[in-house]
Amino acid sequence: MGPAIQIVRPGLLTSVQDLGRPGHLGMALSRGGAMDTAAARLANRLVGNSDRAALLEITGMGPTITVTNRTGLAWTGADFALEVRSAQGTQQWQASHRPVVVPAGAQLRWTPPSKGFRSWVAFAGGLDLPEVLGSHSGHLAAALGPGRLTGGETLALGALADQQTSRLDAALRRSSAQDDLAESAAKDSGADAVMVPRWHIPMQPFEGNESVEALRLPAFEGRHFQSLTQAQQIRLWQSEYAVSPQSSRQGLRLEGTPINDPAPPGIASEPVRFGTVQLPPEGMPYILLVEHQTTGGYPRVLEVCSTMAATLAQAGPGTRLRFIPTDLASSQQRLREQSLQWDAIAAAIAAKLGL
Amino acid sequence: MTQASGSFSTRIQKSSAGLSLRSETHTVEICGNDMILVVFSLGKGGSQAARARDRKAANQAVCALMSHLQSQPPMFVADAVAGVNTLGVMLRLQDQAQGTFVDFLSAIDYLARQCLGAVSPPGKTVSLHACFDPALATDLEAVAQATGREPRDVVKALLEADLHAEVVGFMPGFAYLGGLPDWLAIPRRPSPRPSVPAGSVAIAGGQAAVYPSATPGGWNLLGQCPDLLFDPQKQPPVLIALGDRVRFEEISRSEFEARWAQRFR
Repeated sequence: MGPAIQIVRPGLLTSVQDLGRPGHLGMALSRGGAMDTAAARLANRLVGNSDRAALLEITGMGPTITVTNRTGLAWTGADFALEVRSAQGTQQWQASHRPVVVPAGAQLRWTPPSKGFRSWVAFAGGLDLPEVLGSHSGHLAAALGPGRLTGGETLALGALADQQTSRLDAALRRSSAQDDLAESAAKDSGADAVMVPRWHIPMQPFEGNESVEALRLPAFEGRHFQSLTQAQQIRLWQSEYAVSPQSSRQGLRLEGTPINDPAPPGIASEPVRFGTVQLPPEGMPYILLVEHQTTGGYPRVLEVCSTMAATLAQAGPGTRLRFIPTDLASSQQRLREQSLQWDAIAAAIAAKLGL
Repeated sequence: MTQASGSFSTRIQKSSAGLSLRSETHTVEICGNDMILVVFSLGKGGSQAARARDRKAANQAVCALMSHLQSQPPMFVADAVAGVNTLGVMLRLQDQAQGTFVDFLSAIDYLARQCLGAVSPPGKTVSLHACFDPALATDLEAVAQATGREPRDVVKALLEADLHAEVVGFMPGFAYLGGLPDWLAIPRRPSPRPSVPAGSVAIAGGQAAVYPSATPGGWNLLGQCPDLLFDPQKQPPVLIALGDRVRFEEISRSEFEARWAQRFR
């Protein structure tokens, strides 16, 4: 058997993702894929994969896995800590946003981050799974592609896994010569070593649930905002909501003071988007996420700006949030900043790994 | 596409909700910062027949616009999705970041205008098998009672209806079929079922549909269809596309069982 990872315990919710299936809205299939595609691309690049390689999206309590071979990996998004159990003993690393190499047979466990909710874990070589409609991702709401992992699965890594891991080992040893490796890893650079560089490639931090202030989501008025009473409009902008545990990759259910007196009007089903805020009859806003249904029959009262995907991805249960008004010029400014940040990240990775 | 006749006055509006172009026949507006939504007017209403006519005209404009966007998408269009009288266009990321939104709205407005008065949806005809054996027709008796007809009349009306896919939505392979007689327009069940069986032939709100796979649902179940409505391994993966005409063909319980078994080959 070739290089593979084995899922020992699945954690809270672990699934296989990539950049999803854009272009299929016409057949009622939302994009799906990683909730934060920029973070997923970064994880893949850190281990030398293509941007669209399949990886794991882990949620809240992370999974426990074992690796058959010496394996390079990287995780981005929330700052999960990685516990590595190997012949060398057990070590814990706060080492997101950088490539890490672990020895064959190591057992890996990601422990909950103090801030944020999701992370994307890429393995050198990528997860080797069949494509369905041009993607490896599990669309859990549409039951398409691999379902949520339950434990016991063996997922093969791509044909280049060993080769890419060797290249990562070599690159990390080079930077070790410049005293760039974490100390306990640098003592041993053999096949049993855990290689963890000191450097990391930061991404613009999302606002997490640890902050004193509630998360601020820039949003536009939705098409049916004006059908709310003035008091309801004010309440929508001024209320603080908490993310309900009933949320999923399909949408964030919110808890707070309902807007249901009078009840929101019924509307005919119409096209909706990742970020649409619906107001069902019970009056609690519902933010559509990456596995949303393509049309929706509840009034759309707000539309969260498309630049907030990374932030929404980190809004776990209990996260407090509020909506703040934005405009198109600001959204374009944020998109340009994200684009520039990505260019800087790509250049930094290429420099660090000598690609 | 047909040429729009006459001239229309279009107003550009800028509000806290963003930009919109409004005319008597349709509006084109931005939703959030990455979707342009076209809404074809449903007219002033009046009689039920007039409302049905307006709705059909609007839906045909949507189908024509969708067909155009799929065959000759403008550069800035990443994807498109339709409702009965609405159509959403997703903007490419680089255009969200750098484009001029009023230009996108104008371009979509121009195309929408061309689709006004489109006569017939360009779709193919899809024939679906359906079995109305009492064991598979969970709500047939209730629907007959609610409409004051015999169960057989309900089935007959469905078999004779000239159905067409007004909307493809809810889940992959699910098509909302318009064209039922008015008397069959009954509401959804008061509370949805936690799981509707795959293949269920169902009606609600004046539309018919077949559930491609098991899912929670609130429609009234009249029978079951053994045909695979969504198969990601096939090209195209969905059996029914927007604008297609659909006819049901009745089959016996034994033929249903034989065809159902083929789903799992």
